[in-house]
Amino acid sequence: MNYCIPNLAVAHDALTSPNCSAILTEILECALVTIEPRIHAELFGLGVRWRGVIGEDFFGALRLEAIVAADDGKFEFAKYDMSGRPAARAFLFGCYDRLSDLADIAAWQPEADTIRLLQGSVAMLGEHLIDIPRVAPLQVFSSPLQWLRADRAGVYIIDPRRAAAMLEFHTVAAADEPAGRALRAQLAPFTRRLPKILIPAEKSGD
Amino acid sequence: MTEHFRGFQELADEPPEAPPPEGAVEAVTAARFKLERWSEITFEPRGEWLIKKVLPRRGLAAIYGKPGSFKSFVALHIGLSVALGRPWASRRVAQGAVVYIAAEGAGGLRKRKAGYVEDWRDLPAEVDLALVSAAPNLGAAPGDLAALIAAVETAGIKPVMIVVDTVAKTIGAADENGTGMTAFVGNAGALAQHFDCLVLAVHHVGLGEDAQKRMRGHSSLHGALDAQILCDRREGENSTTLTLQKLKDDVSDVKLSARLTRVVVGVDEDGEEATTLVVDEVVETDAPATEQRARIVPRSQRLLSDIIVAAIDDAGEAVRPFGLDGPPVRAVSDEIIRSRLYAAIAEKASPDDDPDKVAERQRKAFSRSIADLLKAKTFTARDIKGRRMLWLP
Repeated sequence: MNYCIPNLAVAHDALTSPNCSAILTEILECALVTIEPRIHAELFGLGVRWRGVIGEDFFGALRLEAIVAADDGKFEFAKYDMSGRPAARAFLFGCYDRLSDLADIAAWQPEADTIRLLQGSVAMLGEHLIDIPRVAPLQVFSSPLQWLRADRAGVYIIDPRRAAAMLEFHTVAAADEPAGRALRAQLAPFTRRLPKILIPAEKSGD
Repeated sequence: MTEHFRGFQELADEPPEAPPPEGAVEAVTAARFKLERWSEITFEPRGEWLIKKVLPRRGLAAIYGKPGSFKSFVALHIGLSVALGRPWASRRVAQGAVVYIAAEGAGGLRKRKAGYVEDWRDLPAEVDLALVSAAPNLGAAPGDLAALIAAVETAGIKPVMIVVDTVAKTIGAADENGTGMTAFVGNAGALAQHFDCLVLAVHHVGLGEDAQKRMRGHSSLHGALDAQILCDRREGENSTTLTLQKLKDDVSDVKLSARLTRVVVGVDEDGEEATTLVVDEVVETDAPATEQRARIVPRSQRLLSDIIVAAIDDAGEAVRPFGLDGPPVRAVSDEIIRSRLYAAIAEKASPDDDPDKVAERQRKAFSRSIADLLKAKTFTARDIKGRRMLWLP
């Protein structure tokens, strides 16, 4: 791996927030999994395809690192942890916020299919996609694995309270009726104005 | 308008709940007015604006000006930008459905739509903007409020913005300087509350010479507004200055300029071109001069910078980061820098400091400061044979 950090930083419009430099440094210290065939095969076995692995750009690509779980749904790098909590392997990737700033690092642990954030700065995986014009409704996935399997083409809600406010003027799609109802139940306590929730149309039967 | 997405259907509403048992009426009545405790009163900054720092997400706003000041053109342009989710005046817009009540007559709006279709080649065939071409009576309580709400709901639209063009036409024969205006304010507020949206009223300036920069009619409208924009056309030009005179809960010093372009939308019976104007761009003007702030380098960055310079000097090595044919540079490994910085921070720590906190300080100081220095191009870095080397550019 041979990269020049300043060039990357200058070329990437997203690297503007004050928080970004810390995130950038942390994520660059993790090992990219895109060049590791064994790990790659493991992800393909889970149904995560190439686009799900590499993401949209260099910072979104999956990386591998040992983490420890924090109590508040966040994580800390095992290499910096002083608490003696048990470390576990996780796939890490950079997350963009609604304004497309690189805002956080997510740690996905496939065994439990859970997401933890380093800072808790984003409410959704794929948050930067919610305001861009689209020809299909914004897909909301019910698990991180489903989100990765779908090549990250949509969002996965991490923090329903903040996500409810962000989605309230949107049209979103769920995988099916139960998923749609679960999404409605997830957001309803936090907003008076739910997004319009679509589900795949029933077949006409002919 | 309800459904743009093929292959999808809207999730059905939840089945109605069973009627409350006897005696539960008091509880239901009490639930109408929910009390939030201090800890429950929260603010979500991300849901605040329809157009950032110009129009709030919900409430009542007005755009007003003299006849011919392009206020309706600007109102339609705002509506289109919201419906399309496109930035307006380079400001972030929350996308959503728009209802445009063309109470002064829909002919002008139909022509303007044709203008945008002609001028904006990337305009989609379906845009979330619906037209009401009749003038509802909003100058009486409740007037046509219920009918208007029913019409919008029947169409399956959940608007984020409703444009009322103009106030005068929807007040009708009622008194603009008294009960008519107060009824309008009440109806517009109810409309905004019902749809949890913004109502943008298009209005005229006052009649007298001294009233050209304030709205016509009863002052209750001004008092109820969350945002107020004055439209002032420049003499002889197809451009208008938009002054944001009022913006609730925020200081307003925004002045914008909207430039319009003439567009041919067809040919009439006599072979003459039919034209209209479309808003070409809205840009900020007369922005208050901001003082150039001196760049302040944080202490942690200065410390790290000094350490890197010293390390390059006394522990640097010659490397060729651009290949064997490239020039050599004197660089130092970031591991050396990390250990020197950690030592410097440990030296400054008090003996009473928690060792874990000192370690955290060391880690954060290194990771954040080095990234900032690289971003500022104070140093250059590259991976060379498995080590990250830094040098002065």
